[in-house]
Amino acid sequence: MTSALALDHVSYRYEGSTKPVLKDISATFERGSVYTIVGKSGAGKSTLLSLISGLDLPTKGEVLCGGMSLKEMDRDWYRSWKVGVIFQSFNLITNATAVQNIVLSMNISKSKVKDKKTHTYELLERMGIDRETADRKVLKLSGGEQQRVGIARALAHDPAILIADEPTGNLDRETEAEILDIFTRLAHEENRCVILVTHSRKVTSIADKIYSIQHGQLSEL
Amino acid sequence: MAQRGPQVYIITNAIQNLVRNRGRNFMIGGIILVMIICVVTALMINNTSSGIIDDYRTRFGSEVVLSPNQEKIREEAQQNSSSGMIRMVMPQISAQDLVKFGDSDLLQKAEFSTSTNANSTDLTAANADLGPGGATRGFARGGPGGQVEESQSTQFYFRLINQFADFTNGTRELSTDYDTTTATSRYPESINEAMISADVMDASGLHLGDKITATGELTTPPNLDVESTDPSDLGSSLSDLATTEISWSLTIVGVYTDLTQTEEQLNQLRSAWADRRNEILVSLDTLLANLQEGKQGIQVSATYFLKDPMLLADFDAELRTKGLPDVWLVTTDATSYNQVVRPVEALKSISTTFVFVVLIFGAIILALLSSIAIRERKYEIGVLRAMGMKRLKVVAGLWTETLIITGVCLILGLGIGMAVAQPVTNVLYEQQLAAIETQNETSDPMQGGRPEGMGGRIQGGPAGMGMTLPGQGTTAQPLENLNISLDWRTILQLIGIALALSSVAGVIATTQITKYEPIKILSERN
Repeated sequence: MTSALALDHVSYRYEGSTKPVLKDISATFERGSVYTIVGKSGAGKSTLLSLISGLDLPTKGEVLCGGMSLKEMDRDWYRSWKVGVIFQSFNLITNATAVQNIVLSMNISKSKVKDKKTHTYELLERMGIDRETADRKVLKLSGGEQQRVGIARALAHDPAILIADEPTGNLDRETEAEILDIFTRLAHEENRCVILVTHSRKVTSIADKIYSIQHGQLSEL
Repeated sequence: MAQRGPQVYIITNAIQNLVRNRGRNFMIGGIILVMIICVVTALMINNTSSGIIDDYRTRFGSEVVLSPNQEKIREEAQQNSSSGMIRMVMPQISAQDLVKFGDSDLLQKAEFSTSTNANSTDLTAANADLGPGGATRGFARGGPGGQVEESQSTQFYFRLINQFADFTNGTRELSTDYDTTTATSRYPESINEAMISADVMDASGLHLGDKITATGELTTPPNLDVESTDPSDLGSSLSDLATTEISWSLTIVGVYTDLTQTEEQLNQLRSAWADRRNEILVSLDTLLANLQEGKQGIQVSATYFLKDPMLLADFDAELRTKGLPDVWLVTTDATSYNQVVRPVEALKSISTTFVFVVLIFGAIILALLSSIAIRERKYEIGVLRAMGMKRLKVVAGLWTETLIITGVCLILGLGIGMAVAQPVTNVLYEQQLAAIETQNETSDPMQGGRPEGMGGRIQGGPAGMGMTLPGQGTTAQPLENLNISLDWRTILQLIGIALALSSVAGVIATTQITKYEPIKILSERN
């Protein structure tokens, strides 16, 4: 069976640098599982995240989605349709409302949902954002609320792969538990591939497989 | 509910962005609005000026003027004089030549006005009791003032003319009172068809279709001794005039009513000949049929209109080959043209420069503003690209925003521009008129004006075979006001300019966004 996402001897070196950040990494990520990637700051977690989210390409090796290299794929389409990315710093359009952010994301991914606004409200409600908050500008939301909006946006176009960078970093314990529950359900009940980059032990606790990144090498714990 | 097109979100998002970033957009919009108002005003002035210039160029630039070269005539008279006395003889162009000159492929049209005096035993003139008038015989005798001498000879009651413009300018009208079941009053179409006034028709007891005979006279001009200073020579020459009787057999095909003469004017007439009602309207061919080489008596005046003012030199050359003597100058009415067009041309020049300056500075300012705006929105662009939005769609979104701003500014700018264009024009035009007036006052009076040398005007020519020459002594005055109007050409130009301006913003956006990689933007931000 073809894996949802695979790293095939992936290396990455920043432009102008002689030292590779990632060295010959190979791994597979299957649907129906939660993966966590742990590692110290500067270990290459964010670089790996940018490669699997299609924002960048490896200098060597391949990132494969459904057996197809991202180099041969329309990466805009990959980002808008195949993966949902939850950024550590949310990366929301700050002067737009939460709803506008999510509807725009659905429009970009050409979502077939007929009533996008209603769908967005429902999605945000699942993330603990009420209608009033949903209609406020992102700039006026708290860090936790922005994080939830980021998660809702990543889920809005119903992606097969969900990638998150410190997804619960700004959430209270209760919401963190709720969100982790959502991730677990998305993987186990909806057969999605969930990849979480984290420092949190609690997040690691829901993982089906844990990878550690150290000195540019990925190893399974 | 109909599903919206998949790309409509770009427009929706653009509108939302305009509202979200209203502060910045008001500033950009304000600059575009000022530019558009300036361009609207300048273009309206420019296009109206162009229209006026084209119109006058066609009118004055294409109407050919044949005028005697006074200097050359004087030189020739000096060369031919052995006694030291100079007698200048004004040159003449025969009616046959005037007709011949009109047959040219270079001309848009040649208008001939012909007339001759006539009598008819078949007709009773209106105001016949005043007696005849309009002595015809005479000729030009040279000398200062171009004096014209007339002999006492045949007097006439009628004039044969081909003046049909009166029917379009409302000074005569076709009368249908004499229509019968077999004949309807109409204009003469063929040779030897005539139209007479209702008064003459009644007085003569005629009907449509009746035939009449009209007679006139042609004279052979004497060979004047230009060297002679003895006045008796002139008298003897006059008595030597040979006359030839000519006649027309005319069919009455139409009746007209004269609308110009009031009762008071009629009472002031001194002869029946002077009464417009005694004019017999015939075709040009009818009058020219009795034209004879070397004889005078049928007045012909010609006005030539070139197809293009640029053809003047070619027409000049053609007239020389057709026999126009060197003493004649072939020109267009430059004086009238300059009189009217110079201030308008100056205004057009100002407006053209203004449009270019505004567009160049505007484009630079807009390019800078767009560049700054894109930099400010770099993060937003990074987010959109990270979400998978294609570069072209990001550009399309930004371009849509600029187009909407430009469109709104275009509508507002058109309205405001229309309101301010006329007052601005009035001020600028008055300044131009004043400047040109000052310039004319300080410049040589001979420049740009009509030379008034010895012999004066030859307009009217001798009473005989003669001509009137157009463009002699212009009456053209500069326009008092320049009425500005907004036409489709201006609107289309403005739309083009607006699109070009928004394209500047679009090109800037495209260039910058092409350079941006979402990963770099987001990592810089983070």
